[in-house]
Amino acid sequence: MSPEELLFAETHEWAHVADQGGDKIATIGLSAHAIEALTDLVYMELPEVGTAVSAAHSFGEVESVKATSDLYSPVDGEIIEVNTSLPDNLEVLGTDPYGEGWILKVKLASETALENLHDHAAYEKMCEEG
Amino acid sequence: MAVDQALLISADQSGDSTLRLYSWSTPTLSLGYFQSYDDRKRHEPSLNCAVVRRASGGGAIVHDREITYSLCIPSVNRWSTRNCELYKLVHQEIIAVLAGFGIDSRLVEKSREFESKDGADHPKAFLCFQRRTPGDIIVGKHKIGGSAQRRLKNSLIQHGSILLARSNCAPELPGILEVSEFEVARQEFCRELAIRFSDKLDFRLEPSKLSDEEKRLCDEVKSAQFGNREWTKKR
Repeated sequence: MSPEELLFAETHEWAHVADQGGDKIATIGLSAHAIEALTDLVYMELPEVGTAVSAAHSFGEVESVKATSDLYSPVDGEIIEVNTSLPDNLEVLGTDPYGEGWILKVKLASETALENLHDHAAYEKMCEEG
Repeated sequence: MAVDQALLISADQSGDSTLRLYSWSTPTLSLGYFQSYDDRKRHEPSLNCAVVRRASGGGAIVHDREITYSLCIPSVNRWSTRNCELYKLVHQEIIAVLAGFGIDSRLVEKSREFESKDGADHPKAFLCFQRRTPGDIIVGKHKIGGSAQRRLKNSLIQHGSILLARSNCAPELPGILEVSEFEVARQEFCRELAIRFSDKLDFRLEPSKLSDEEKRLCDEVKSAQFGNREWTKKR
C-alpha cells in the first residue's frame, strides 16, 4: 500500500479500511515516521485475536533500544487477525511499514473514529511541525 | 517509579516539564519493563534488594550508590517529539558536569564497542550497566550512565542512573569512584546538572514539592502498578 491510501492517527498508527464480505476491515500499522523516531526496535507485544480495541486506547507495546511506547488503536472494533510473525521480524517494520509491516486487522464496530484520522498530507504536515 | 509516572501524567495536564533528581532509601533492583521477574534469580548479589518494575525498557538497574534523574516532558513542549536529540543532549550535559569534577567520560559511539567473550557487556545482559548501546556514558570502557524513555501518547519521560560508586548489590559494576578515583559530591552534582539542563533545554527551574493532585496520582499509580506485586511479577 502507498501511504497516500492510508489514514493516520496523531499517535502515529495508520489504518486502511476495506470492504470484506459486507464487513469493514481495518488493517493497522505504525507509520514510517514513528518507526524512524523509535530507532532500533527490539521487542513488540501484541494482543490476541478476538480482543476488543477502542480508538485512542493502547492495544500493545513496542520497545526500542532506548524507548518504550504504547501502540494505540486508531479504530473501534474486534481484532480478527494479528501479524504474529512481526515480533520475530521487527526489521520488516523499517523496510515495509505499509505492507508486510502491518500489525492487526480489525473488524470495525463503527466508523466514527475514522473521522479523527488524518490523510497522509495532513499527517506529514503534523510531523514536520512536530 | 510511581512518583515519576505521576509527574509525567501531571506534566501533560499542566503543560509544565519536571526535572527530578533523587536517590533511593534502600538498595532497590528496578527491572526493565519487558524483563522477566524470574530473571532476577540470575543475579545473586541483588536477591535481597527490594524490587520494582520500571515503565521503561532495557536491563535491570541496582539503585544504591547512584543518582537517579527523571525528566518529564509534556506534549506541548517541542522536546517531546525530539526523543533522540533529547537523549543525546541529556547525556552530553551529564558528561559536561562530570568534566567539571575532573572526570573524563564520553558517549559510546557504536553498538558492541566493548562486547567481550564471557557474556559481560552483552546486549542481552541482565544488568543495564553490562549492556552497551550508542549514547551510553562511559569512563574508559566502564558504563557509568544510562537512560531510557517511555512515551505516554504524546508526552515523554526520560529517566536514568549515574553510578557514583560500586554497590555490594552489584559488585561487578564499578562506579565513578572506582574508575576515576574521584568522589562526586551528590548535592553539587545535582545542582550543576539542574543548571545545565535548564540552560540547554530552555527551562526556567522552580524548586517544588509534589502537589496534592500529584500525590493522589502517585497513590493511584502505585496501587495499580509499581507497588502492586502482581503487576511487578506480570512477566
